[in-house]
Order: sequence, then C-alpha cells, then structure tokens
Amino acid sequence: MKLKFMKYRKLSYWISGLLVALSILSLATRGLNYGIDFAGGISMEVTPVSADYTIDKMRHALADFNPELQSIDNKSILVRVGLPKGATDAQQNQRVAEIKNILGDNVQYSQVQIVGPKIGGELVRGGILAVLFSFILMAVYVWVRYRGGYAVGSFLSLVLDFIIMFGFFSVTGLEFNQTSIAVILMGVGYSINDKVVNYDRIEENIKKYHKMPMSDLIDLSVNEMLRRTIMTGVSTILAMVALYLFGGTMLQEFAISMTFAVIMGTMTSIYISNVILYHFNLRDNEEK
Amino acid sequence: MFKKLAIIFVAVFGVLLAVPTLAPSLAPYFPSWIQPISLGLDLKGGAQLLLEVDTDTMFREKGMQLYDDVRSALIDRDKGVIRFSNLRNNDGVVSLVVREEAEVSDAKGRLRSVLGDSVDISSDDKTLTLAYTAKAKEEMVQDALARSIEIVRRRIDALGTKEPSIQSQGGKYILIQLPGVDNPERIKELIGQTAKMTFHLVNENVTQEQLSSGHAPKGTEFLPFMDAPDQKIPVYTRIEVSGESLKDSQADFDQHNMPVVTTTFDATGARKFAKLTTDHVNERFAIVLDGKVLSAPTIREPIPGGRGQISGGFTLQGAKDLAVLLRSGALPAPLQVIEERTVGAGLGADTIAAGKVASLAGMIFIMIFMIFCYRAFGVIASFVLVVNLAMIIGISALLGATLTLPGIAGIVLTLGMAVDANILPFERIRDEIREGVTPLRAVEAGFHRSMKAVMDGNLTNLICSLVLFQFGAGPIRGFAVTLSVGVLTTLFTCVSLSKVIIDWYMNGKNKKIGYVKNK
Repeated sequence: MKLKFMKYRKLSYWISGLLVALSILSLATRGLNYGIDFAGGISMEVTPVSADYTIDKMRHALADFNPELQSIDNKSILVRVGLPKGATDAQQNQRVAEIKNILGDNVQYSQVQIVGPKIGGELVRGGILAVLFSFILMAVYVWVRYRGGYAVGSFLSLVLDFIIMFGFFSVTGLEFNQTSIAVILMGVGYSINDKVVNYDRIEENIKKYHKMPMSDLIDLSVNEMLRRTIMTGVSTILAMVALYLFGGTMLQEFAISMTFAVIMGTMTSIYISNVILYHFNLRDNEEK
Repeated sequence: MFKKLAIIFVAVFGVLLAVPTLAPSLAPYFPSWIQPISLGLDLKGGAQLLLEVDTDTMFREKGMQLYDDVRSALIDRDKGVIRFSNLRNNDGVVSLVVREEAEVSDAKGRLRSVLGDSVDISSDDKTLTLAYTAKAKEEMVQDALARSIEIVRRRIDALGTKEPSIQSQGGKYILIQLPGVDNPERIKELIGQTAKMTFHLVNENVTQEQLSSGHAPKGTEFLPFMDAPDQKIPVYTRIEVSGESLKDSQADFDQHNMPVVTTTFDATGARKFAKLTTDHVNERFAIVLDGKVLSAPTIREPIPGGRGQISGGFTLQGAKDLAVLLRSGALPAPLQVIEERTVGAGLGADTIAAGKVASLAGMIFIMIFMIFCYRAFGVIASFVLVVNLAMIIGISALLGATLTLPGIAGIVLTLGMAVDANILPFERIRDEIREGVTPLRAVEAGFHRSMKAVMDGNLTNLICSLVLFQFGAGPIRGFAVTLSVGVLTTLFTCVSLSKVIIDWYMNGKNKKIGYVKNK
C-alpha cells in the first residue's frame, strides 16, 4: 500500500478550508439547535392514561403555550415548550404549574425537565472554555514529549476538528446539549490519540532515515500507520453502531455525532495533521 | 515472575470489585467498601432540583439593614448625636451628608467601630458613602448557602424522603437529588418559602379610607391576608417577637376540631410574648409569614407560658407543612428553582435495560472484529476487553462515581477506543515479522516499540477527560470519571495484562502468528 498524501496536500488544505467556511457560514446563519440544557425551557415525556387522550387533544389543550409535540414509539409523547425571551425563573415555574394543571390526570409523567434561563449561558461558556483549555494542555504535552512543530500541527488540526464538529451540529440540526459538549471533547480525545500515534512514527522514521526527503518520509509514515488508523476507527465506529441500534432514542444522537467525530478525527490525522508537518522544521540536523 | 503475579492479582482484584454491580445477588458476601456502583437519577428514577440563592433580595435586605445601622450609630444617646442629612440607600450603597465638616472624621470613626471591616467607608468633602466590601458580600453568599442547605435538609428530612442528597454546586447553587420521588411539587412548595415569621401589633387607628387609598402612615404597612389576598390589614412594622425565638411547632387541632399550628417559644421569646400579651389586652396582633398575615387574633388575656396557637383556616396538610417550616427555621434568602429534572422509575429501568444491551452488543461487535483480524491474538484482546469493562465498573464504584446514561455511552466508547492499545502492538508485530524477525522476538519488539505511542495517545486522552471533569456539571462529571478510569484500565489491561497472556500463549516457542500472512 503506497498512497501519495503529500502530492494532494494542497487539495486537503482547500477541502479543509471549504469545510471550515461552510461550518462558520452555517453557524452564522442557522446557528445551533440548542437543547433545553442551554436554551432553557420545559421538556416533558408523558404517557396518556387512556387512548382517548390523543396528541391532537393535547396540542389543542396546550395551544396557549405553543408547544412542540412529538410521539415516541407510539407510546408516550414528548412535550417541549420553549422559554419566552426575558422570562424569569419564577415565571418559568409558574408555566410548569399551569401546564401540569391543564394536563391534569390525563397523563403520567415519565420524565420532566425544566431549565431556567440563567443556567444555560454559564454551561455554554464553561464548555467552550473547557475545550480550548484542553487544546492548550494537550499541545503542551506534545511539545514536551516530542517537539514544537508537532504541538503546532496537532493544535491546528484540533482547532479544525473543533470548528467542523460545531458545523456538523449546526448543519444537521442535531440537538446541542451538555452531551454534545462531551461528544466534542471525546472527539477531540480520539483525534489527539490518533495524531500522537502518527507523530510517534514520524519521529521514529526521522531518526531512522536521515537522508529521506521530508515529504517522502511523511508519506511513508502515514502509510505505515494507515492500517492501524483505519482498524481503530472501525472498532470505535462498531461500538457506536451498537449504541445506535440498542441504546434507545437518548443515545442515538450521541452515536451519530461521535461516529462523525471519529471519521473527522481520522481524516484530519491522515490529511492534515501529518502533511502540515511539512511546513515545520522537524529535523535537528538539517542546518548542520 | 513477581511482576506477572502482581499483574494477575490486580486484574483479579479489579474484576472482583465489579461483581456486586454485575451480580447484585452476590453483593451481601462482599465487604461494605465493595458495593454496586451507584446509579444516577436518570437510571434509577427520581427528582433533581437545582436551586439558586436569591442574592439580589438578600443584598437588598442587607442594604436596608446597613441603612438602619448607620442611622442608629450616628444618633446614639450615649455618644451623642452627629447631625446629618440626605441619608439614602441606593441598591445597597448607603450615602449621607454630615452637617458639620468638623464632625466628618468623628462620624467615620464611629461608623467604622460599629460596622467593622465588612463595610467600605469613603468620604468626599462632607458626603460619606458606605457599601459592603466584595469580600464581605462573598462571605454573605457562602454563609447563606451553607445555612440554606442546612434548612432545606431539615425540611426535606421532615417529609421522610429516602436518601436525599443535598449539596452545594458551583459555589452558588444547591443541588437536591431525591431518588424515587417522581413528583417534586410538594417539596418545591416547601423549599420555595422563606418561612420568616414575625409577630406585629395591628394599628387600630388606621381609617377605612386610609386603607383603601393605600397610603400607610409612617411605621405602618398594609399586609394582605394569606387566605384572602385582596383583604389587607394595617400592622406596625416593628417586630414584637420574631420566629427565630420559636423552639418547637406542631400541627394540632383546636377545640372546634380545626387544624392549627401550636408554637412554643424559647425563654427570650416567651418573655417577649408574655409582655406583648400583658400590655396589649383586647388589642389585635398579626402573625405574619413571608409578608402575608396568617391570622390577626385579639388578645383576650396575657399568655405567660410561651405557648401559642396559630389558626388560619388551615387544612391538616397546610398545618403540618407550616409546622415543618417553622421548626426548620427561616431561609436567609429566598430560593429559586432554576432547574428541575424528574425521571420516572419505569423510564429509568428501560434506560438501564437499553444500556446493558448496547454495552453487550458493542463488546460483541468489537470482539468479532478483533478475532476476525487477529485470530488467536484477537481472542486475547477480547478477553482483556472483558476484564477492562469489569475494571472500569469496579473502580468507578470504588471511587464512588455515579453511573449515568452518558456514562454508559462513555464506557462503550472507551471499549471501542481501548483496542487501539492492542492494535498498535499487533500491527508492530506484523511489521517486525515481515522484516524477518522470529515471532518470539517480534512479540517482544512489537510491545516494546509501540509502548511510547500507546502511552502518549492515552495520556493526551486522559487530559481531555480530566478537563471535562473540571468544567463539566452534573451527569457529565460522572461521565468524565468513567472515561478517566477507562484510560487507566485500558493501559493496564491492553499493555500489561495482554503481554502476560501472550507470553503464556507463546510459551517461549516460535509459534506461527496467525494473522501475519507469509510473503
């Protein structure tokens, strides 16, 4: 197996740039589909006590609240009510009481989530801060264990991962909640593992082949590691397929976005984080 | 040899830790520190409330208190009066103008000695400005948080909820977890009240016209009745006896068999209450709870024993609740419910079932894949994967981590990524054999040479998990603990344990390694 990654380096850059532009465009126009964790609001999963109490009846009864109703497995109904702009926590609690009052004894509640307006913003800020902070820590680690060029390479491709992951949530309209932040961080974790493993081989080959031109050396290393890169990716995706098939509705979005993160991380490992090293001086003895 | 034994011992021990979780019927045979992993509310069902201490209201009250303190410090009968004007309270910032320039430093000194270090005092010409320092405010918040937690605990305990967990979160919130509770409305009602009770005299001189105009004379306010909010009654603002002097309160029935709340004052309260009822026979006094009048009975005769009875048209439930509230004390500031999550027990059970099936299926998928690609070595990788899963669960349980739905997803993800630490040496072994190295030496070299990559890859991953733990909240934190444990158990099982088993499998002979095709 000998694939020429360096030859198509420019193409990789263009595609990455395009994806980043698309992501930013989508984030700017469509934004993220914030879940109740961040946007606040009311989400209830209810089961009607009798079959007479249909989703239409419920929609009619709750019309004042402009709810979003969705049937789950023909068994229960998901009721979602957004948080009006500028509503206070007290008003929010008032609305919950009113809704429960209207639904009364017609339904049983299997799940109720109420998030006030205050908490969301703090979580988003905390989440983004966490991700950026982890980037810096990881870059420092790579710097200490390997060298500066690798640190810059991994940092740049992680930022790329990060933006495109956000773009993914925006374009697909998947709900963005606390778990999404976890997915993005775990995606970053997967990605950095992948990159470090490849860098380890490049560093080893630099020591082994003193004369080989850098672009050939990178190509060789990536090819040597390609089998492992794909194997690990497939194994992780298989685990996510199991989650998607058997984990119930709540884990499906986790499985989808994590699968994307794995594919994404693998792609940026092969096409970006390695080839970008070409621009950095990695050999100690080049000037000697 | 010793190293091998140690590795096997750790593996067996790690698996044993998970037995109570995986087979709950065996849990009684284990010591108390090896118990099943605790399940999050999303898995076992229950209610979770996140409360915020309403610090705005608290600071406003503190500001009013500061205003009063300043006034009484300057108009002191013993030390003499310092004349001032324009005393104002602007959102907790109190300002005043001292009449005589010569008295400015005197005023500052006196305020300083009365108010202490918790207040900043600055002066500009004859104007003094006072405000609580940031440090004092922070201390107030922490103090209010600690006291609120204590009071909320007492109120919830009085309801007999099983294993409630009440703790502070993020330095300003209170997280209440109530397993098994699927409708927290009553609890919300109980903790939603400040329960500040005070006794006031009723101002009988107020005319009906004044009452309907809404203009209360100085020192008097018009308060609504609890059971008839439209109806107001004029009471003096002066507090005769405060609820802080209550020693006990119980729900009971009066002579007409109506529910009432009986109250018992402590010594100071009893003395004040006796004086109040002796001096004001045939006048009315108002029992005020959180700004609403519960009842305003006429004092028939002095009540010396410190025991009283509050009737206010209660239901039995209402009387019981009020008794609980009065017993547990008043909150230092109102609490706002800012987040509520309730999961029914049925849904929780479904979620656990789905999580179990998904983890099992994930394991089987990965095993089939590994055995297909690496034959005998794949079987070994599959075996250590099972050990890995058991160790993640066992060690998480030992650390007291809570397993949540995202946590289950995290475990499945960890298993998928864990095999990387096997794939790396296995691929390395393939490379070595292709270069003509004998299988036995290839195994040694494969594990040895891939070590650095495995370590670095996993440790950077660990950084991610630790950051997630530091910044995450609620279920995400449990998820982060599971992931961090997973990185460590992965390193142990895939590196140390696999090597021990592979050595045993190779048995010191140059066996053919199944997955490497001959050239």
